[in-house]
Amino acid sequence: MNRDCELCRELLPWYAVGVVGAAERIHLEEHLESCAECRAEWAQVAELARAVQETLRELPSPGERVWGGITARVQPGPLARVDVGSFLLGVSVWLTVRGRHVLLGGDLRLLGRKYRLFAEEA
Amino acid sequence: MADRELVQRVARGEEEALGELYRRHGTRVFRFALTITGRMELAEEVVQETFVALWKGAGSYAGRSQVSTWLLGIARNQGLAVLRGERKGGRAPGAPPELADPAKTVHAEEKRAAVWCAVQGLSAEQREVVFLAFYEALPYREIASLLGVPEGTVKSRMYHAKRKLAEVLS
Ligand SMILES: [Zn+2]
Repeated sequence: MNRDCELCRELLPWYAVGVVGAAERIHLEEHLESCAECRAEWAQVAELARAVQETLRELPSPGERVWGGITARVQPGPLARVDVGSFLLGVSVWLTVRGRHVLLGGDLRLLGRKYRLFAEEA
Repeated sequence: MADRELVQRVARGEEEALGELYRRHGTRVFRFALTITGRMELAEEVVQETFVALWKGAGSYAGRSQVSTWLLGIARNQGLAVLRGERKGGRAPGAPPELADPAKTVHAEEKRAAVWCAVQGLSAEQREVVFLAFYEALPYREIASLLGVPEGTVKSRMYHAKRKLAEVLS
């Protein structure tokens, strides 16, 4: 196998999914026209790429509990929190630890939704 | 809203922005993790760790790559860590993913199961390249930068993966 064939075959998997640069693509297509062995290889790679792609696209999505687990871990209780008003209309000011930072923030509560007013490193 | 903006909002502690990023990218992260670890419960663990890491580390996103690629980079580290823990801890084997789809013919099902087994038969290094190329359609340059290896290494991993897959599936 000469160097052109090698270069061509290295690129075929990416050619199969359409992410080869313009210059490389022109080179590769010229080579495919002139080389029967690489054309045979291309047919095989295209088929393989399609089969793998189909299989991966039909893998399941994460279950509901995954997001539940995430929210449970990203909502540590604030160090301090002051609420004014009610659930329907109110303001909260809180102090919490996020990673290595201490954040001071404020939320507006309106009709059950929460709008972040500010969040600054304290 | 652009992903980048959502990451900025996550850095300010907005849970809703985290939820939106999860809706957009949770499935790709999960499937990537499943490809790396081969098991549902490990993949779920990786997704959780990835989004918790996003929550804590959103402020460090430098914007050099797409948010999706950045997330896959985090997931990859989490996935490899989980695999290492597996080997040490010797946890009981879990269930492989359910690939069956009743709407599909038996033949198509068998083929998909065969492809999945073949992919799982590759090394972890080959599996991640296969996923990033075929599922994500990432150019080899981006894969190289995500994995922190030279482009030639990515091409050669793919070259060997492809040969092994063709061998098993032929
Ligand atoms: Zn050739």
